[in-house]
Amino acid sequence: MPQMVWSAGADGRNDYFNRQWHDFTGFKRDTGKILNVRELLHPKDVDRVTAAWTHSLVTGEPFEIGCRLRHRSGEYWWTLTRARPERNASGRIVRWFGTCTDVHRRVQQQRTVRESDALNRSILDSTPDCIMMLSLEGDVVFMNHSGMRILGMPTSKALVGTPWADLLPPSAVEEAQRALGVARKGGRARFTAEVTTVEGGIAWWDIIAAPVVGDDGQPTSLVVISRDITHQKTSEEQALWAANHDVLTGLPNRAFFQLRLDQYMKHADKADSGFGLLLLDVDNFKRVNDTLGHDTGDALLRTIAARLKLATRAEDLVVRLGGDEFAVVVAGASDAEKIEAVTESILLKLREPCSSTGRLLECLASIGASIYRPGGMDKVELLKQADIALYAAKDGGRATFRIFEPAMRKEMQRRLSMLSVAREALRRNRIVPFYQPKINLQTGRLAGFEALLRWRHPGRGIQTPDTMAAAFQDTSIAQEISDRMIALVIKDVQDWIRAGVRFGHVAINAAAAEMKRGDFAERLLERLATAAVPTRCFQVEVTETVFLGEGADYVEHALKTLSSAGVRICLDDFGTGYASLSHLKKFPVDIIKIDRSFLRDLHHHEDNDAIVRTVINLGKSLSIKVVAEGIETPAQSAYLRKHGCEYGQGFLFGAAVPRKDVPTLVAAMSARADRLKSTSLLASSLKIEGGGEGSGIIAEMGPPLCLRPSTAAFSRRGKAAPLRRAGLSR
Amino acid sequence: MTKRTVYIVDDTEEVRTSLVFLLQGEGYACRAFASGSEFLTELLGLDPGCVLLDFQMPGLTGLDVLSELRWMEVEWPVVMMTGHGNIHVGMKAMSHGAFDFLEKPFEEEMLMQIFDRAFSSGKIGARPQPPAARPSEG
Repeated sequence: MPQMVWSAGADGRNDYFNRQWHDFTGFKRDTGKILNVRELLHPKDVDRVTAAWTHSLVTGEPFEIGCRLRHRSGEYWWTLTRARPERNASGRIVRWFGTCTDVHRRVQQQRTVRESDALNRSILDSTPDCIMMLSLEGDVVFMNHSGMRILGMPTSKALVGTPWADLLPPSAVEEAQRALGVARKGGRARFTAEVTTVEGGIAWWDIIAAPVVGDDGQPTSLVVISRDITHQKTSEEQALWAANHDVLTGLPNRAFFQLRLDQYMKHADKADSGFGLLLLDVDNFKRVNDTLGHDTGDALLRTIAARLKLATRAEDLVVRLGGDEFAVVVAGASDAEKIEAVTESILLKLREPCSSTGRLLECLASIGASIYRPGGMDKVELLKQADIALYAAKDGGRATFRIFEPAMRKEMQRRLSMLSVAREALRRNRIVPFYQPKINLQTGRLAGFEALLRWRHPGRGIQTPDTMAAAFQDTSIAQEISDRMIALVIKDVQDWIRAGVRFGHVAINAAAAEMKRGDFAERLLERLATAAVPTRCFQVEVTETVFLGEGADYVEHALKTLSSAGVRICLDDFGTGYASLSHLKKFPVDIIKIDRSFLRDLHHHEDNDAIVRTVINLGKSLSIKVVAEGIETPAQSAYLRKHGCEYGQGFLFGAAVPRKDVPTLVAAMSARADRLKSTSLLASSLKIEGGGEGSGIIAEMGPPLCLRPSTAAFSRRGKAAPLRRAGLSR
Repeated sequence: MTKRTVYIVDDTEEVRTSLVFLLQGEGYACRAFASGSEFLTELLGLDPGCVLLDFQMPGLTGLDVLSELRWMEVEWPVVMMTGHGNIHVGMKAMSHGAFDFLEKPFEEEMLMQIFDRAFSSGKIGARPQPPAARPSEG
């Protein structure tokens, strides 16, 4: 391109511009106006150019600078502006000749290249992917920052020349070589590799190898881009994990269990060994959930899961089947001893105290086991056997373990038939209360009755509750039976009161499950009130177990409500359970019943002898009445009377009788007591032997009469019962 | 009539053995019990008879047993054996329904006389029954 030429005087003022100048600037030559180059300079270049030009004018040094001049288009174009001085003979500068070369396009191109370079660089460095240039041989030529960071290298220098394959784990080398082969031939190859990160973790890479093609269309080098897909891979794995695991406990779930059980069986067949299958059911889990909430229930399940893991080996499988059911596969355990050993350690681990939000939880489970022996049975049978064993274990009480035995199958069927018997008995109104007399051992007078559950079999007559024992483990049936019993008893009591039968009191048994229902006391009091049955004619018998476990608050509420309304509370089976003396103080216990087991060997068993006497004395000290249960012989009765036990109950004084026989029994007992009184032997004989200590205890457990309900508005403690005051009762 | 039965309740084996020997020789049916509770445990299964009861026994004393028999409304004649010089105890037993009492050691003749009286007293009634099984009189 022709140059713009100009000249200026020694003072630097322009005096000539050629045509190209005019073409560039757009100023017409004939306007006669001489423009100074300076006036066309880009404002940002003015100072720099002026300084350089002044310097040249002063020193006479040639002038050369890159600067922007205003093009006729109005834009500033880059020019390379040069000027040389013309000197006269004496060497003085007389004139400057200058040129301006339009370099705008070139500068722009350079800048574009520079910007593109920067862009590439910035892309290379800001991508999280590892980007490498390789020679055709597969050696590293370049690696971006991400790559270096991933490899833990400060610069890529050390890597240059290193074969790419050396950077990969051995497992990926073969795939990498294949990919390079494809890229060398101009193709693109992609594969996934699992690598160990510099931190020691596992990462997954999605790797693409492609050629960089030269002008001749031939690959000149190769580019390899590796992308970290660990997250995606993890997500996939997580999805897979979630499908096979229980989120709450982190244990494998039922689906996974089914799958693995097949594998265990195949393996056992191949190795000609066996394994044990344990099914666990958390004891009282429903109660924990119902009374303490699901958070606590969840915490309990997590604790159990963790403990099962701790109590088993790595080769065993611990699974949460759902709800409160777990399964454990004990690998290699083909005999009962091995399975027992593992189960023992599991039960031991579970027994350790477990607390959740400051509350001590009982963390127990019942365990049923079956054994797989090679070629022995199919999966369904294996599971069924363990299930039957679990049922048997549950039947045996809490924290029990049973291994399947063929006899259990029969037992299971028996249990199932018990359930249907109970349902049938409820449906057909076959439940009947029977009444067993309680006697004042000192006077011989009738103190009252305990209502006992019986049911009428259409062919076999009256049956005791043990014929439907399994039904009581089914909470809903048990509650329904209890409800029915209470209703029938209240009805009978109502009839007797109307007929003037002096029955004393009637005690009903309440199971822990009922007490923990929350409104047990209120409902009972309301029913008594509706039937106009004075509360003091009623006793509620509970076993020691109601004080234990998580629902004790409900029990306390129920017992206190009943007690303050005048219903007396009787503690059944005293001495067999876990009740502590503090329970006797904390809960409103009016009566304790010495369990029949202590009476059985009274005369041959010194411990029993001591226990019975201690309980009798305990009752005396705490002003709690004592009833001895299961008195069958005059010997037991004599012993109890001698030691001052006030009340007795048992076959000696009569078995439980149906409602219709109660009036006759009451009359017979009354007549007998009158006869005894007339002989007046009892009290005086005790005075001789007992030295006064056991004498004079003729106080009744309650008035033998319930004829005046109005007096019953006051409880034994003399306080007016709140419910009655509230008008719930007449 | 069936054989006359005597129940001997005494914690001393020698006493039991010699009494059984003696009474069987006189034609009585005998059963000996080493304690009051042993006797009372069996009571409901026993045929009517006389009871020869030692006063001083560990566990249930003679008086306890006597009291229980009365409480059970068993009216059999009870002869209380007391230690020597314990007449007041014997009297107490009498006042509580014992048929008679004997101070140990006693003459065979004396025992035989008492049993003759006891068995002809007409007090040996039926087998004992649990209280609730008795018919109402009212």
